[in-house]
Amino acid sequence: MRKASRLRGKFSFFNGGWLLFLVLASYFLSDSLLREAAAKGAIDKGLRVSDVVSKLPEGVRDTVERQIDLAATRDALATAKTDRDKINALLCLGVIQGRKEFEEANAKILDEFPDSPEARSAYSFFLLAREGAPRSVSPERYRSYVTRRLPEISRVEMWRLALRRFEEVEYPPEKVFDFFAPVFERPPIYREYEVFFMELAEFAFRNDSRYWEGEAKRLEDACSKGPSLSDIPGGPPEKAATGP
Amino acid sequence: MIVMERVFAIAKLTFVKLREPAFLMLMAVGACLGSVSSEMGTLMFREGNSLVATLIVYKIGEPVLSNFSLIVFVVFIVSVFSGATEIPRDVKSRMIMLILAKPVSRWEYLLGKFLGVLTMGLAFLAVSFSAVVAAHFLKTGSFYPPGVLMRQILLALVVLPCVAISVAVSTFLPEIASMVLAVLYMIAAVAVASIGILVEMLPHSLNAGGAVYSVYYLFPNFIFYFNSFHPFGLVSFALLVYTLSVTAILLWIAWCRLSFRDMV
Repeated sequence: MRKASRLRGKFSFFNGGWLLFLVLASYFLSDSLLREAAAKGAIDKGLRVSDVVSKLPEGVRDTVERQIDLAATRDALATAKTDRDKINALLCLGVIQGRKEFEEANAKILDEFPDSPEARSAYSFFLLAREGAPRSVSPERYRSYVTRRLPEISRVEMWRLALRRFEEVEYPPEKVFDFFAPVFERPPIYREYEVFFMELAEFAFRNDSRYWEGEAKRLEDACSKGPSLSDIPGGPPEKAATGP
Repeated sequence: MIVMERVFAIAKLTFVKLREPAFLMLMAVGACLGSVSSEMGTLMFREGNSLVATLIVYKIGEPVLSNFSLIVFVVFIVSVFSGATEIPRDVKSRMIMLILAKPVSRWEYLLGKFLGVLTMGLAFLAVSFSAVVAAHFLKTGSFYPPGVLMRQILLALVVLPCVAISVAVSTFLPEIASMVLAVLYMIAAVAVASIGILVEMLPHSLNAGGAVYSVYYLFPNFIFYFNSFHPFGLVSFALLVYTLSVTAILLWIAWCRLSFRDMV
């Protein structure tokens, strides 16, 4: 009799336990669904998390904003489908996290996407990098990347960045002009190159390279009269794509 | 079946006790309120209002109308005042000893009390809603579209957790204290409700959920009841499940308390 009573007690406990489990499961599931629907509705209505964060006290706001940006970029990286999106997310993540992380992000881009046109920031970042940097890009590799992988419109900036870097590290002038050989051999006569040739002429002047100074000035003049890259329908012919 | 008969008997006892002149006057006030407010528009808030107000969605599906919300607010007050006082009064007057001396278990008593107060709240709601619909018909010559009307009827679901909260709180405290605590708890629930939705909007890798949800899950989310949605869709079904589960959890807490407390 006592045994039967205990058994009944156990059964009622199990029945009650299952019921409670069922109720809690229903609660959490329905709450999750309703929350998602409510959040979607609020976003559709135009509410952004940043609107809410902007109402926070100043001391907390910056930290919260940084954490949210970081998480949003991590999410963007996790869901990125194309190389372009992945590289952009990696760079954003690096910028938000700090100098060291930015360096690591560029190293990762260089390792994983060496041929992507979006990897150009990694190439310019590591061109003749200081000792102890995670990667270093030689001028030959840089030039090959610029001439083979980049469209004409992106090259000018890369040439300018390279020139600036050479000046920083005091790279020998003869090697600099050797580096820019493709630009002199098949000069891109576009207005965007005017400033680059002007800077190159100044560099040659400072290093007493009269020949290269004259050449650079001549091309600067030519570029000032040339068309703009953006004016050419369908983009400029990729004439330097066959460079070294 | 016999169990349910006992539950309904307690519910009837509660409902009959509440059917006093004051309550009938309140019903009349509800009917007047319904007819006066019949042509108020959609429940929406201007920019710059509180965060909770900003989170209420009114653009998808069928929105909640302001007049029905007003009636629900009155029902909320009525439910708190009757739900939070019933059990403490029974304990104070020793009526509970008389009831529990009969073959009525504590959970039957609790469920009966809950159903009694709920019936009263729903009766008030039914009278006021009918007054709104009738007044709208008299003023415009047409009824509300079925979808809009159904959405307003679904608003009545909010009465269930309100009554359950009041009854649950009343098992812990005397009547005045439980009334105050029930109101404070519901105000806190409204304030906390926005947190869960905001966390849902945050990037997933932020992992902001853990600590925040431990506070969020202590309260039912009343914002869900006032959002607009399709009355015959998945969201309305989820709202029904949510209401029943929240009510069951609150009644379970009340039952746990009632099972172990002294009735003297």
